[in-house]
Amino acid sequence: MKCPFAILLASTVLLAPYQRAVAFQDTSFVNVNSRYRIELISIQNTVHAVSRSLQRELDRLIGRPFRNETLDEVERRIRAEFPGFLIKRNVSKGEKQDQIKVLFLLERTRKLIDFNVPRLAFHSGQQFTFGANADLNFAKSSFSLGLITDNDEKVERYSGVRAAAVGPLIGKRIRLAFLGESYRAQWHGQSNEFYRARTNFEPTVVIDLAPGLEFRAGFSFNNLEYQVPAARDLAAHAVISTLRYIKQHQLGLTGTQTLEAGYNLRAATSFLHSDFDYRRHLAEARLSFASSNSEKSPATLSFSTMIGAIDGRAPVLDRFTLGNTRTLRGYNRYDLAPFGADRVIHFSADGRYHFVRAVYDTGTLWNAGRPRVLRHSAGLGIVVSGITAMIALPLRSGPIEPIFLVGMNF
Amino acid sequence: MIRARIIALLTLFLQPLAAQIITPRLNDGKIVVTALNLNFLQGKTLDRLRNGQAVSFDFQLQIFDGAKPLARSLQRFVLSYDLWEESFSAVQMSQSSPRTPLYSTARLKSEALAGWCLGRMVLPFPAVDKAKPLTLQLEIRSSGTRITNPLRPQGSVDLGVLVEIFSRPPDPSELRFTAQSQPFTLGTLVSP
Repeated sequence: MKCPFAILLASTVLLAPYQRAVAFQDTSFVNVNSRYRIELISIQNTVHAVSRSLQRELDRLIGRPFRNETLDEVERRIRAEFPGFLIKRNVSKGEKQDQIKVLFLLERTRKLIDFNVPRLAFHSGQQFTFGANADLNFAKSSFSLGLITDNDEKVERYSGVRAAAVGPLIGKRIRLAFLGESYRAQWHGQSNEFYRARTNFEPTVVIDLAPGLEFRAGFSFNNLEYQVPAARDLAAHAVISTLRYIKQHQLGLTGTQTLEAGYNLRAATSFLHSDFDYRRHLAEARLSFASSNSEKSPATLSFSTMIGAIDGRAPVLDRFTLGNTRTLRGYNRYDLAPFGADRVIHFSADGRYHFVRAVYDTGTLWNAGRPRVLRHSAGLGIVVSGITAMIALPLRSGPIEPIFLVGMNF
Repeated sequence: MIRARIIALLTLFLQPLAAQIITPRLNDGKIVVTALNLNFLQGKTLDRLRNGQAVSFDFQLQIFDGAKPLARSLQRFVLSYDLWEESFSAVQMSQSSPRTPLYSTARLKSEALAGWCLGRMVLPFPAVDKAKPLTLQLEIRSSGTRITNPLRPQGSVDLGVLVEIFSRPPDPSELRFTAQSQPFTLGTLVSP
């Protein structure tokens, strides 16, 4: 009696992994390539790291007979791990006789015409911010037209249109980009430094230096239209350059760690017939951890920092602000620096677990030679379908007025 | 001289079209079909095959009296492309027991593939006037990965499934190929 039981137990144990591997209908007899074995199976992807569990699954298939059903299963796993990518399977002869190479190519999917809302936020002290874009994507070039009214990013509320075009210049690595903007400005308070409208034209060259490392350089021709004390136009033409780096690493079996860093220099000189002479430096970094590769990861934690300085006399347009939906969220930016400042340091910690989100911000902004005050704020909110509703409070002694924030992409 | 050149030129251009015509033949009291250079593999379906995938093709052969079908034969073949030998192989699936191969062949060039598949299809001799003009029509569809009836297991290939496939209009994503014979009479088949 013990013998059949032992055989049953042994066969269950021995066959369990095999059964798991071939849990599909075996149709190997219809594909002539089933007699060949897999020599190499890999994923071609330059930005995102492959999870360790998926890599292990790929490695496990090396030396196994070629089965389309198995590859379909692998493709499903890749699709789950890399949403938003088009997966192409390339099967070819291997280096050794009777062996086959399998390569999965990942390409970011882009619709020909894409409508999106990159900015949507409400700040109880600053009202609405809204931006909508229509993108026209071709194989190598793309065009974008957007409408925006933003009372979050800069000292002013600016409303208007922006158009951008990006196309290849030399090969795939060097692209040419144009940005055109025209905005009306609305201000909180009055000052001789406030302009009524501004236009900007930015031709730049974008160079992919290495996977994840991008360098952008060009010019920014800003025209500012003043009315007070007299109607006049001033130019803030500048040389601009930006270095950006993004890299994702695998963390454990399913988690990911993403590092984003950037440095931006904007130098306005009389050489470009600019009425302002200044250099604006801004360095930003963000380190984020997610419990899975997907954007719908149930738990995320990120730390971001920003350091900026302006050397010279810059227009209000380029001055730094804090106290919006991304920085010092418990404050109103009009209370901190209504005309902006030329020095800034900010740090933020942001954590989300399922639908609960908590943030802590600390930072200071000041003008050179003036005293600086370090401020702190904290916020707690809920996230539903990518939209965050949050109450943020300044951490200080004295009267506290909570700030209510709703929106996405912050 | 000029006329001869025009005819030669037309023959050269029309030869590929003419080659897509199927020819009926009588074999052991049944109608069989021969086709020379019938090349139905093209486009994305051919790319899938060359990428190591097996693709199933449903063949429907019908004999028509004008617009009225007299008899038909339905078969499913699964084709694959040998990546190392750079040739095609074909498997005819059984209709009585799903996912069971009936016949198979290998090392075929694409031009010979249709000939082998058509060689596995027969039509009963129809009971009509032997002087009546008839035509043969061949339709091939690649079923791909589409499940025609979710109640049936995928890969099942009984007659009902095949009838259902050819009853619906072709999906734009699937391959559809048709070829027709010249009008013929049963009398010419019996005594050519």
